[in-house]
Formats: sequence, structure tokens, C-alpha cells
Amino acid sequence: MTPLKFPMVMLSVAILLVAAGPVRSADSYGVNGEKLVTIKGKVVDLACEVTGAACNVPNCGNGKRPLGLLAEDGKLYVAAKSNTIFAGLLHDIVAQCGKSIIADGLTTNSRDSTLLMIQRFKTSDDGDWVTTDKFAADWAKGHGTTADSKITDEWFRSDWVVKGAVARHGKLGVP
Amino acid sequence: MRRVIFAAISIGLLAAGQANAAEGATGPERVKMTGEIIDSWCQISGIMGVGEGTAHHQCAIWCAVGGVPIGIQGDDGKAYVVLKLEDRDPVGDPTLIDIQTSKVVVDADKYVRDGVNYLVVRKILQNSGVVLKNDAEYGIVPFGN
Repeated sequence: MTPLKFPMVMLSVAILLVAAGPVRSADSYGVNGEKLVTIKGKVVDLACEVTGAACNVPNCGNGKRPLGLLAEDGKLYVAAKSNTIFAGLLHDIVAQCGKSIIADGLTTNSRDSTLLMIQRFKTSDDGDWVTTDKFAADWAKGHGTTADSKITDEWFRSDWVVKGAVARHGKLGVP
Repeated sequence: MRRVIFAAISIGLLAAGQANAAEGATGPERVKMTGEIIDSWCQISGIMGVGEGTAHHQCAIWCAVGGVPIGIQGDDGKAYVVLKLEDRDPVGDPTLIDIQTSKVVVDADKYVRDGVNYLVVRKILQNSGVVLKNDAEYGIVPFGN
């Protein structure tokens, strides 16, 4: 390769990388058996999917039932954890019940079971990534504060249901 | 001859598919199981060390209220995701929130699919209360005020 051609090749590679857009990848948490994953699949009612029972539950239970992600290869994942601290994924993906999403996150495995943390998702290949922090936003609305407040950051310290449970039987569960 | 080969390949692929399906899913199996009510994320991920007993009680409540799937850490060493509790949906269920980190005996239907254990709990037969664990045996002091 001549000295003139090398910079041209590098420039072409750079242009291609910029045109391809930012590459998204999940953040590592260093948890048990961690694997960073991007999975395309359908949001499903986990109980219906696992038991095979004929379910007549509208909208995957409207946030009262565990959700799963049924990947295109037929593998079922437990949609367990969102980006909001101490919160699951119900607020983020229940609206996608029965629909296909592209989920970016990680799986963790131990004790003979595997869970999926979805850190962000999009509803189409060319769609925008949505960070899974809707629990915090919804919690803030329900508690008269804003999503970016310190109270919301530590929602678990101010939550009425948590306070009620701790009041009944103490922080250690031993009244 | 081509038809015979095609049929043989089709049957082979079909059989392989059924074998995979059988490998990935079992149940229901009626079981009587003893274990601790856990928040599945902390226990399986290990993000808080070992998420068990009194030392993890408040954190488990946080996760249960936050909608993280509730599980049972069986005495067989396996973690199970609870799909139903006595015909009720588990998310936000007041009973499940109150009995976090408690030792229970349950009558349940067990399922296994794609490397995950599941329970449909028919009945909690016994609740022995919160599992007592102090810092010395627990090896970690969880945060929280």
C-alpha cells in the first residue's frame, strides 16, 4: 500500500463507522454468571407461557404478573430487573405485552436459574433505545415529586408500602 | 429416491425439534418444598452477596415492592421463580411482601424451562418466620437506613 492510499483507507473506515451510528452495548454489573446480551423477542405473561395454560389475562396482568421475553429462537427469559434501583421491568415493558422488542442487557445465572436484566430496549430495528427507568418516573408522579429528585433516586426509603411493611415487622423482620 | 431422502430429512428435523422442546421444558410436577422466600434478583445475581435472612429482609421488601420477581430459595440449593401464590398474582401481593426472607413449606407445581425453575404455589403449608442470620455468619452488612 502506498503512503497516499493508507490515509484514504483509514478515512473510509472512519466514515463507515460514523455512518453506522453509535454501537449500543449493555453495562456490566459483574454479577454471577453474567453474559451481556441483545435479544429480540416477544413480551409475554410468564405464568401463561410456562404453564401452557389457556390464559385470558388482558395486557399480561397489567403489572401484577411476572413478565418474560420469548426470544425468536424459542428460549424464554425471566424479565426480572430494570435500570431503576430495586425495581423490576413491569412499568417499562408491560405496555409491550404481546409485541416484539429488542432488549439490551445482561443475564445472570446461579442456583440453577437464570434472570434477565433489560437496561434498554427498542420496539423496532431502526427505533430509538428506551432506558428502563419508568418505574422511577411513575413512582415520582404517584408521590408528588419529580423523576430527577433525590427522593426518587432513593424511592425505597420513602415508599408508603415499604414503610408500612417495615413498621409492621421491623427492618430485620423481627419485631 | 429424492422423496425418500426428503421425507427422512423432514422426520429427522422434526424429531430433533421435539427433543429440544422436551429438553427445555418439564412440569408440572407436584412438590412439597421447604425454602426461604427471596427476592430473586439479589439472590441469583449475587449483587448483594448472599441475599438471605434477617440481614437481607429490608432489601427483599424493597425489591418485592419494586416488582422484582419473588422467588423461593429451596433447601435443595436451587432458586425458584414464583408465578402464582394461592391463586393470586405475586407482584405487589401483601402476603408475599410481609413474608420476605421467611422459611416456608409449600405445596406447589414445579416447572423447569430454559434453565429456570418455576413454582405455582398452591398453598403455604407452614411459615416458620424470618430466617435468623447475624453478620458473623452472613459475612456482609447490607446497606439501608
